[in-house]
Amino acid sequence: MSGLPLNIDIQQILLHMLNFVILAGGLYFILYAPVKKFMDQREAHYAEMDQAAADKLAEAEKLAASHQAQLDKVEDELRERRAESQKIAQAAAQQQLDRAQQQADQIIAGARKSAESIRAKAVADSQKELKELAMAAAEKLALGSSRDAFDEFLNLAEEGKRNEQHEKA
Amino acid sequence: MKQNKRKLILWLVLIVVLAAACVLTGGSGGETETVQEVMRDAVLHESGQVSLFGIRNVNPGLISAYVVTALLLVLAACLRIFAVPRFQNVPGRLQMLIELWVGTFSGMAQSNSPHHNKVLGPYIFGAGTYIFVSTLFEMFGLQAVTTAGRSIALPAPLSDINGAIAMGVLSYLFILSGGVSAVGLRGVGRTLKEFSLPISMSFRLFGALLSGLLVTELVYYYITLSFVLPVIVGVMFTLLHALIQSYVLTMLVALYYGEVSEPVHPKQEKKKDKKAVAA
Repeated sequence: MSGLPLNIDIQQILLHMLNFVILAGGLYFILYAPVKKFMDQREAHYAEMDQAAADKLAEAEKLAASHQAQLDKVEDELRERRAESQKIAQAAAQQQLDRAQQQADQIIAGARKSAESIRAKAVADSQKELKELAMAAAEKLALGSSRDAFDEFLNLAEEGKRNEQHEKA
Repeated sequence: MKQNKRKLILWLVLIVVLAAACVLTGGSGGETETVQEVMRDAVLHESGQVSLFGIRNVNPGLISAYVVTALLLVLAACLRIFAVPRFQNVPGRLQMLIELWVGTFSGMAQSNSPHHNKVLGPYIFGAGTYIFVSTLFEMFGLQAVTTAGRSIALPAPLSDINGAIAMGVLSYLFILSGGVSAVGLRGVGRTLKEFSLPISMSFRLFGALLSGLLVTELVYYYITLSFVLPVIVGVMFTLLHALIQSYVLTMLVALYYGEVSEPVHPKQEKKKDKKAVAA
């Protein structure tokens, strides 16, 4: 073996190899494996946590979406019901308005009728009174002086007219 | 404050004067051998051999390798007993350092060989740690006695050519085993294609670490270079070497391992790819 150049010795090379194999194996079993195991476990733990957080987030998003859908549905329903109740209220109000209009029309018609009858009665009364006055005046003309009777006739006629206007008002 | 400054200046001046006196009054060092002998011995270890438990004489690099292995295994055992059981999900400083240490090599294995990396991670973890620590080991200057009865500082294990060859050949065999276990005989073919790999890896390691050793030996040989310069050469050079060499070898092993253990794609897909490229 000493014949090799540069003092190369096969046995010493093998001794170096043996030394390194012992060292590499020892370092692997004593240090590398436990540290790597710890690191892998921690990585797995954080990956698990990350996954759990992602799952929860997805679940929450799903829940939020379903809640939003429910809210939209409720809002739609609310809108529909509001429109419906508005329609009902409008119909009821219209009905009431129609009824009120009818009542008002009836009242106005009744008032007109009574006013007409009062007017007709007043006209008839005044005409009757005029007739009576005319009769009285004619009697007085026939009986008393013509001048005084004529004045009296005129005064009575004016009075009758005033009464008629007053009734009209 | 002024008095303190004066004292400091006086102290520094005294140091400089004494250092200059040492340099000027001394010879070229207390060396008993020429620089050529030192360099030759650093490369070949012909005269500076150490007895391995009285069984046989070996290069001091092998003793360094055993010391490094023992140190690393003791350190790993201490960390396993005292640090690893106290690991928490939110790491402290030591835990972060250990996780960085393991995670770097594990990540390198996963990124370079995504299909087949269960064994690659531990291998490059061991190799990277070994190269890094064994390169730094030469800084401690642990002493050993040679068979000639002289005291020597234990060198980096990989500056011994036998250590570098062992590392290179073992890495090549490991790549080969990865190829075989992933794609069978096709893996052998793929690995044999890179037949120069063990030589290039061995001699890259040996050359890189030996150059560091030689520069350090040269610097320490002359006492006039023994001031300030060793801080840069000894510490910075060795640290950079340790980092670069461990990165280079582990990266090469991971790359080649990934390449030879890549799963075989069906021919149709390849044809499609070629058509797409042509288009």
